[in-house]
Amino acid sequence: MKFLIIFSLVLFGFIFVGFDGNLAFSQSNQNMINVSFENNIAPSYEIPIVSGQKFTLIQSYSWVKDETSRYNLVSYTLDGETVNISRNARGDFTLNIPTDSFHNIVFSAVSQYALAVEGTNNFSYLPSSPTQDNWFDAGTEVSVNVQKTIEIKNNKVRQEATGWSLDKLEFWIIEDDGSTSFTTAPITMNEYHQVDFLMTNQYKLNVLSDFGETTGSGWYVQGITVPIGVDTGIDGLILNTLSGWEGADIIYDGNIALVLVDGPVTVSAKVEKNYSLLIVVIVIPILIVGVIVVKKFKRATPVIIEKTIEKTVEAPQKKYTDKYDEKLSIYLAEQILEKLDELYSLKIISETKYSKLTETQKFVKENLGKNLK
Amino acid sequence: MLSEDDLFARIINVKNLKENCFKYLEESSKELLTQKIIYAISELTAEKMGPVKLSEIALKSTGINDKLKQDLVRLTIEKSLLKCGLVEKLKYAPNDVRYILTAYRFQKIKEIDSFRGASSEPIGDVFELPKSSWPIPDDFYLLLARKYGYEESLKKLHTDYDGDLIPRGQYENLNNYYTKILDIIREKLDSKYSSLEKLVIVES
Repeated sequence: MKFLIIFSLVLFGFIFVGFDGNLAFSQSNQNMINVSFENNIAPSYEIPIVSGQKFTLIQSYSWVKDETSRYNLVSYTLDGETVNISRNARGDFTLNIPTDSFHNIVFSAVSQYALAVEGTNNFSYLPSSPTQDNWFDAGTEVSVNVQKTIEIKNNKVRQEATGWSLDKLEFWIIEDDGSTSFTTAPITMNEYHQVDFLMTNQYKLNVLSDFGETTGSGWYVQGITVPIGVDTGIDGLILNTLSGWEGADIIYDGNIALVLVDGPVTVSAKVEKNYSLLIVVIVIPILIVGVIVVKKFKRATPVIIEKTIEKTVEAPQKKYTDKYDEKLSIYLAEQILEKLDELYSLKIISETKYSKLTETQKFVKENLGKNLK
Repeated sequence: MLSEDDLFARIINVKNLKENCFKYLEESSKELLTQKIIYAISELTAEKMGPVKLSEIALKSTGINDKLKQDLVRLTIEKSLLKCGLVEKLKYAPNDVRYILTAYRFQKIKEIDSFRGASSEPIGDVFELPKSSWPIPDDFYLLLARKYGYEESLKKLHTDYDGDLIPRGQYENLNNYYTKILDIIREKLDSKYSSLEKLVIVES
């Protein structure tokens, strides 16, 4: 049944013989054209032609072979002389044939199979198809080249090719080797093939700071928790101190900051000016000099000195706790350790996990302590 | 490898065991290789957060990893633990077979046959393998500890503010900040580990 359908398609759908001018011709000046196909890939046929009239033979460039393949015209031989045909996927090939005598024409065609690509539109075939589509001659080896990253939203969302499969049977990971494109292994085109690319959404994390250099900026997959940081540096004699982060939900315990990438994220470091070094280097020496001068002055004019002392006493004393933020961070680290100790003592957490988790917390606490000193 | 959800389901579900299988968990079987294998699989799974190989189980349960011990352990698993449904065998590849416990909490049951058909009756309390050997990720413990840490730090912050140790502005900043982080931690615990938190903490 299938054969009959294909046969009828070949006869009626793809082959058309045209006559220019009067269709009527007499038996007396009639010639013949014999049309056949190499390897009998389509039925041969004969066409009577009228001498002196223009005759055009029309042959489809491609026609169905079976459910997953097709034939594509590559050349023809007219009375023994072979001529290559410019390859095309669709449309008809036309050939003007002289009607003066009998002619024999043999068409040659090759089998082609389709190579479908899913998952991305940013790809190319290596080598490209001889028919400028996704069909390739039987036996050829074809690779698919894909752009690894495709920007969906400028500097915010992108897709990255992370894997590929052939005919949904085998799956390979695409390694992140720093290259911008990826080429699959060669695929032999002896049947229909489908290549699927696995594209993963990635989001941009921007870590900003008015001072110093930040770490953590980059592209990340959704759901990942990324450690971020900033080296605030020194601005002359004024220290820049990180007091917190803003712009997203960030877990920050005074030392380690973690941000959950749940979409494009921009976070900014809150940096405060710390004048302690300036005070140590400039203000304190001035005060010392001032005290010395006052002492000398005290010896000369006791009455005025008394007033000066009075003023010094009246100066606002530090009412509040120094470096409260840092002290609270240390308290937090202590409480976290206390809870981990409790979980361990209640045998809820194993010794291995307890050691691993407390190690990090102890490190955090020690570093906070050093900062406080 | 198994997903976290699969591992959590094994912790949350209570498995019914007939008396002849439940005996492997009882104190009387403490010296038996069968119980040592159960505990070895449990502890190794918690460390690796996934099924474990025969060689690892053999080493952990007997202290030796040679062919003889592996055969002994394999035989014990096949004859007792797999039959009782205590252990599951997973074939990743022809030469990669791994084992994992089907549950971490067990209920001893007695089967009753009557004219109305077979039924079961629980005997005693639910038996739990040690919580420290449950396959729970480090992240969970850290979140629990952080939650406690932030709760306690907020309490201290309020007390210190009442004691006039910090100015109002600084108090409000810190309060907002610590509360926000605590909310994130609570949200993560509730969304991902709610059933676990109840089991590990409330019932501990």
